[in-house]
Amino acid sequence: MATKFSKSQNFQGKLTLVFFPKIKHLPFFIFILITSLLPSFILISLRRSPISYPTHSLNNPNPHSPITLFAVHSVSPFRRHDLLRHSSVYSFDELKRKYRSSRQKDRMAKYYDIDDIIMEEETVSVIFQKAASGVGIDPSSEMDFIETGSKVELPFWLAHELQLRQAVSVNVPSCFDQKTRLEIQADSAGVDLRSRCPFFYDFGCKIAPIVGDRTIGFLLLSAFKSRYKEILTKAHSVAFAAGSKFWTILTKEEINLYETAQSAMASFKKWRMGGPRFQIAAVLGRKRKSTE
Amino acid sequence: MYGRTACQLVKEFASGDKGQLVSFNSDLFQQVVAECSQHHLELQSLIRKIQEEGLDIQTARNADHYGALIHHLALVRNKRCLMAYVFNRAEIIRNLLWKIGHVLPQEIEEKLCHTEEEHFKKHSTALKSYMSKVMVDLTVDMVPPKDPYIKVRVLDDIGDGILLSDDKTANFACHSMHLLKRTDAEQFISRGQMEELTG
Repeated sequence: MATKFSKSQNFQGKLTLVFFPKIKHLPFFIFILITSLLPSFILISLRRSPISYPTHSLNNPNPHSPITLFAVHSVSPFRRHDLLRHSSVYSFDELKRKYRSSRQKDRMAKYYDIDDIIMEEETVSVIFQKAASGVGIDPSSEMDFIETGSKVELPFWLAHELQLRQAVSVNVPSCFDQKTRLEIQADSAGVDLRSRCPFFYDFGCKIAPIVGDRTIGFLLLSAFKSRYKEILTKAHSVAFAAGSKFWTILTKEEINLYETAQSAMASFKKWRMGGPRFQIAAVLGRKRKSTE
Repeated sequence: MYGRTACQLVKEFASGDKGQLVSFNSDLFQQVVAECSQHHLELQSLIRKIQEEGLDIQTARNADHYGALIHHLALVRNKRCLMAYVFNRAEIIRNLLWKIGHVLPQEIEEKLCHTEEEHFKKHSTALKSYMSKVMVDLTVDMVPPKDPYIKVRVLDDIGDGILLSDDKTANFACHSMHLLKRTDAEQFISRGQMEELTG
């Protein structure tokens, strides 16, 4: 029994020596590979969107991500036209319908999403194009009547739905103003995005098609690219405990990324220490925490 | 502002750590429900007003229409917040069953409202009946043990006369040490009443 065991180990050793110096380094290689390729995967998968949903999607609300916006813009005008005219598989209307239903599904998928609900509570300032009676959402007026042309701060969920029905026009929110843009251009990693908007990217993606400002996509992408690098390096460095100031400027999405990177590192380390002996202790820790 | 109370409710849920429960805020919940009925009344009165003016509800686009629309949207939003609150709590409660076992500790049970306790009990009976049908205990650790027996120390006075799977009873006095079957010990460890001794 014992000889059999060592034999198989030897075999394994030889096999892996060809590819990796030690078998225990294998997951580390995979880990490095995945983290280094992740941004490019995202780019590749999202770059495909303009082909499945041509540029008229920009007129419809919400192409979801800064990167989609970027991808749509990066297609040259001629090519855009081309895509629209020669989308031979689906007619224009069919595509539109497909796109709408996929949006609907996406929205329903987030129906119970706590973060999505909180994000939609962000206020935007709107100008009413139509009058509305019997509502008390304008604090400046004493009557419960909103006149055409009055400027009101509304939460995003309300502003969005009213904008779809052409009842209001939405202004660009203050977190995407010129000042923020300049700051992001200067030093994106050091900008305090959380105080401006805790869901900077998600909110940006949702607001961009509504206000019709196509530069927001670029802004989000460039901000995310440079900040992502920073988060990844900081999450893996030893100094993250001391980086408490660093915490306070991250948006909610970035914190999620940061935590994911850390937990990946933690589980990798746990795997290397190995042994099912540790398994129970970890389970115990987690369970204990939840009972507290 | 419309929908603010509902969002407060959701934010309160989100403020806890992931997978942790805060006590069910029935006060705020009732406030949101009351707000919903208020919206409903105002919506109805606006619709009646449109009808009294002799306009078609389907096509009228006057101030009353947009007022009614805003009330409708606020209603839908409040509903979404309430649904998300209940749904996400229910998910955590179902997870507790897998993590802690069929009996909830006192401090967690206090945080549930009556219907949530009911939900937990029903989920627990459903799982039990399923497990007895397939004759597998699904709640045990997924990783196969090297040794079926583990050494444990009792942290809490559990009491004596507890029946183990091999038809023996054991006296788990506080700080005593035992060699138990892993499947027997697991539920006590998960509740924090025992700890595993390693090395």
